[in-house]
Amino acid sequence: MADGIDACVQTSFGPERLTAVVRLVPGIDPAQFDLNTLLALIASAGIDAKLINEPAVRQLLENYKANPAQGVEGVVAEGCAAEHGQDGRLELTPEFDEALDRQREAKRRNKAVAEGQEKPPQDATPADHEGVSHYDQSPFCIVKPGVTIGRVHEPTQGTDGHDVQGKVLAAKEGKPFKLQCDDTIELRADGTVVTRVHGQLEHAGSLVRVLPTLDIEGYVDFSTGHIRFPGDIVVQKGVRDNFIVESMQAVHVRELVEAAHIQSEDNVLLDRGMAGREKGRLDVGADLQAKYLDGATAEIAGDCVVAKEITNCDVRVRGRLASPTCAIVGGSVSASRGIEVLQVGTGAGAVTEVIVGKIEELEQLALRASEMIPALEARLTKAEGRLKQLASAGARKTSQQAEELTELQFEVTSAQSQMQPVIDALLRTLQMIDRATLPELVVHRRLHAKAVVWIGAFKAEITDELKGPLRVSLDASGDPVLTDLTTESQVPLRQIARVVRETRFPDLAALQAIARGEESTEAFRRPAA
Amino acid sequence: MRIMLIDDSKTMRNIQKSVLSQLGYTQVEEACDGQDALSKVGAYQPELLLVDWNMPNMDGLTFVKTFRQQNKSVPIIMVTTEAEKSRVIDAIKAGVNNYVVKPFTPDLLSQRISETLAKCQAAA
Repeated sequence: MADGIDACVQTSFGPERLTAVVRLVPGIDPAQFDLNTLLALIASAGIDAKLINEPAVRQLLENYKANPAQGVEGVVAEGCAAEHGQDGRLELTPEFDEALDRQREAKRRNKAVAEGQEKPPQDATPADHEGVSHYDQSPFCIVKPGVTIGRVHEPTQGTDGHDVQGKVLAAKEGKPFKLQCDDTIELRADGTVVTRVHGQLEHAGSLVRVLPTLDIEGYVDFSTGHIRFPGDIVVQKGVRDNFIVESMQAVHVRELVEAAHIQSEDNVLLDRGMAGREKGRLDVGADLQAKYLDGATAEIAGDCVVAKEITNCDVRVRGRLASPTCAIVGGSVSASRGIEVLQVGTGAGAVTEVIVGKIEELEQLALRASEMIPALEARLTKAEGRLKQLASAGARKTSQQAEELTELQFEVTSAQSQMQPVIDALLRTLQMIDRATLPELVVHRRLHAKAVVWIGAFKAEITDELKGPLRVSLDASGDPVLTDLTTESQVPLRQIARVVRETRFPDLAALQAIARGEESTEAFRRPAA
Repeated sequence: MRIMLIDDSKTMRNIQKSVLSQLGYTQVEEACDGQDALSKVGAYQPELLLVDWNMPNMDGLTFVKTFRQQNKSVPIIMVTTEAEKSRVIDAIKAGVNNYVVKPFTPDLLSQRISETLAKCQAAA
């Protein structure tokens, strides 16, 4: 009978022997089959007695006795799975996790648009996103130094388990995580990951770093929003209308800049140029290099090189505009350290203004200082005159006269003490202007009629086309002269152009004379007869 | 240093204030006569007084005499048109430490203030 029972009790195991299943097949006389026999039989199959679930076995037996013809099956023992250790990992803060996701998506979309795989995104209507400017929605993850972006977790050991036969199931230890980073990221002893520099955060797999350059693969448009970045910016395509690109370093745009605003504290390089449609603006902290500028306003603190054309622009260059292949057509171009171009104006007579050797802010400062001198002189003369009057009134002074004398002496001292600092400031400002400017216009091909040249205290209206190469500069007495650069012959500019003394810019020679006490301030205001 | 200017002429006070400012003294309180000054000295506790002689309500000499009854150490400079020797002696007797006769130049006032302060510091 025992052999018969053996045959009718079938034991099987689940994966990793974490469960033991017993099947009671029909053919056993339920009267001869009790719990202890069944428990013994289960144990004899190699199952750890401590792990046998006795209530489950009892239930199984009862089920079988209730319906012996059908047979029953059930789990009678359970082991415990090993809990494996977790691998070490980088856990980003929720804020950066989300920001980096946004950045990845924006880069993908920006690239897809650039490659023509997706349509350019449009500005959402205010009704959809009230109060949200989509120009300001930058998807780039820009970080400052000292920001905690996440934490590196060490791997864990795990916990061993056992199967139904009592055999140990060893837990696997987690793998260590090796953070790949450079000097831009600091991994602290407590696992925190902190940025060391300003820039764009990049994260891919185990690599985390801060990029000093923001490389935009497509256009600056609604897929990127305005770009404000502390490091260098490279735009592989162009910049669309009304967008702002702002950097504390250099900006390089490979394709066209439309009516946008580029602001950089360093150099700006526009491989193609700007078609500003009278709205485009460039604020350049160092040098500007572009193929052409059209309908743009530009302030350039350094030098400027434009290869082809500057058309209908308002350009102010603090350094030199050295562009021997460039034509200036229409608009107004000013360069403190002189201009060298191919041509100015057109044969059709486009009114084109060039201003050389000016720093307007410093000249206005010098003018204000010079205006203080006669005012102080007037105070001094008036007080000294009254002092003389009182002195001649006799030795004995009334109490009132004594007080007035004190006031007058104070007035004289006060005016005298203010005068010298004003004169010094004026002279220093004039020196600064002298050092920082070069009043010179060099034209290689043509200086067209209707071009207007502002130089020194003069405005020169070109009446007939002048062939280059030529140079307009000032002679030793401050009058404009024209030099033929082929023959080096020189003539006063007023012989071939309408030259007038103008008050738009102060006459620096007159200011110099005022500072030296040689001339009154009226001189620089008087237009020449 | 806390300085009090006592003069009925606002212009004269401004001149003195400007000289003091050039000397680096910017903590200045003003009074328009002796009575006004007496009402302010208690709270302000000046460390130097510049006093005019001829003022309405209470003249400078009366103010000096009254002030000296309660304070013997704070230096006082009389700034006045009263140039007669007898008047100067009266002022010195009343407790004035130095004397500046109007008209004066800013340089002279500046010199007198400096020498008065130096003398008082040496005596203390």
